[in-house]
Amino acid sequence: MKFGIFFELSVPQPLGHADEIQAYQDALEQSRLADELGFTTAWAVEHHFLQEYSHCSAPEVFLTAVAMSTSRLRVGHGGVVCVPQINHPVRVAERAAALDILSGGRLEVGTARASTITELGGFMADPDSTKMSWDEYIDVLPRMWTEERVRYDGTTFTLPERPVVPKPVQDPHPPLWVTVTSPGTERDAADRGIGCLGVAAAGFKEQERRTGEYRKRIQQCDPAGRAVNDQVATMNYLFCHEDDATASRIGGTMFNAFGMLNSQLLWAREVYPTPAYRSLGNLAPGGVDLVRDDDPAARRPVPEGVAIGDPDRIVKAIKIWESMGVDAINFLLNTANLVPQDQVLASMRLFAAEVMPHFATGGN
Amino acid sequence: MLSGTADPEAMAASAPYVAAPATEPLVCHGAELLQIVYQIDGHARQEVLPPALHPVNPPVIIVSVLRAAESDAGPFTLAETRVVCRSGARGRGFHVSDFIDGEEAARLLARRWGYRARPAAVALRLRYHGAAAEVRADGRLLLDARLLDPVPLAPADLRFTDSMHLARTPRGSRLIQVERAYDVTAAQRGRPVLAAFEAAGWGEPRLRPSHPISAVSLTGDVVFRPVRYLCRADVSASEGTERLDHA
Repeated sequence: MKFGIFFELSVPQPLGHADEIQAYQDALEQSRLADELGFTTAWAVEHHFLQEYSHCSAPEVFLTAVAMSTSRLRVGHGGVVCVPQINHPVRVAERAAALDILSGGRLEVGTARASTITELGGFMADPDSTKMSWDEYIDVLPRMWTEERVRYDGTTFTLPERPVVPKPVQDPHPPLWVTVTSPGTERDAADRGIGCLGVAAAGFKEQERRTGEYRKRIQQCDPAGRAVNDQVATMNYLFCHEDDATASRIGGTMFNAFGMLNSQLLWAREVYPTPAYRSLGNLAPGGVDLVRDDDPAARRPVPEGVAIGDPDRIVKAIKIWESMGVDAINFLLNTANLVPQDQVLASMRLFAAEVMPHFATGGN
Repeated sequence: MLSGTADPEAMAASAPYVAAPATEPLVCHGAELLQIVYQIDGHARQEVLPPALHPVNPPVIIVSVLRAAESDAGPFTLAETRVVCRSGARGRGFHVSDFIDGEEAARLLARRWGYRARPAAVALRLRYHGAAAEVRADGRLLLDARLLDPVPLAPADLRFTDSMHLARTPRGSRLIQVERAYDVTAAQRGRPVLAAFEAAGWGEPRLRPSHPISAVSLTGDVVFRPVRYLCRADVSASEGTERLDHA
């Protein structure tokens, strides 16, 4: 079992420069501590225009800073948006290769396609075609990293023959992942031989189904890259404290706040009906005739398996994830600076001291 | 997280009085719907919502026109404008106002579901090459909405947003959660055009449509469901939600 940290870089409203700077500086300090404590990877999302929820719009810059201030921690895009209007594939390949060089071969490349109209509409991207463009990126990125010259005639973009430089350090190239929020994306990952990077906190049952489906299908994959990445990672929340009630109080506040911010996003599907977004991104999917958004007072309960509690409780939860075949868990550590930084760091230290030893970890 | 800043009592002064929210559904057979989603200027996104509701980013409105060929309240055509928002964690549309062609339905929807119904000539025309809707009242063109370049959609591609209607009730000012169920037989998505939208005529001059997002038309059956929830307009949904006894 590997343990990572996952950054959305949420910032409280009303927005102030100091809060934004604090979110970035706290995240860098958390990354340095994670490096010391044996966490494996620091992941950063890519979101645009999502005030409060995520101010991580230039993850390649943030991840470069993380890489430059750590020595063993891997750095991961969780994930880079594979939509031509937002990131041209050549720029994705170039930036990733440069970051892989600068980090000494510590880059993981998660891929995504954005799911809010705030982002897609802001770049005038066509929601109908993001699955197509994602698929084309998955095909062409490994070629750009490994072939001297690349030409590509595609549906969502075309590239006349060019030498894409530089090339990454890792041989044959950095591991590829896809962020998984919608049911079915694990099948897309398995069929292409890329890692399954869960970015929505799934329950035990859903994760077991997802992992089983992935493991079964990847046996017969047609790899998009030059190497198969067959890892399954899930997202979780972390607040570890000696006193379980204190952990629940502080961590539960962070958990619920993140859920509320997430529910405020304007999902593509909500205002732009399309088969490309039949599920609601990070929200629970379902058919229109079956799902009713009922009681507006209802709060999202902290589901089973969330790593909020004392060390014993967290060990038990992670054992269950481990038994399902999950290879890695990536933790959100804070929401909108709600938890004071000293408490976040203390939680990480306690987790490393009391929880990590219960698991065989690949470490960093 | 941002909340609305409008004064709910001032807003409620012109709202309908709902003595008893609907306990029975209003079933509309053979219904047609045109729904246009537009981004609006963001300057007033908090000011047009009561404190119970949260704005989304970017702010958008849903303008819809529903024609019910057959219903328990007779045939009617209803045009309404809503501001997309959140009630707690739930997606909702805050009802701004509506115009309706059909007297009996107008009375029923106002008295039982809190529609701010005003009489008008409301027209909806669904065709294979697109759809168009118009609202005219007192000689003014209040709405000219069109769907162009239609492409077919599956019913499973659609998602509908329930509404929050501010009304005066025996409990005081309340947001009535209005839920509609859809049994869709055919649906199309196309390019939206709001050729005319007279915001002042709709009762909220600060709504300035600025950028098109989507247009959908559909045919099927639509049911206005019995009311299950009321919410205070001055506090958050977690504090102010009231479940009705009959629900």
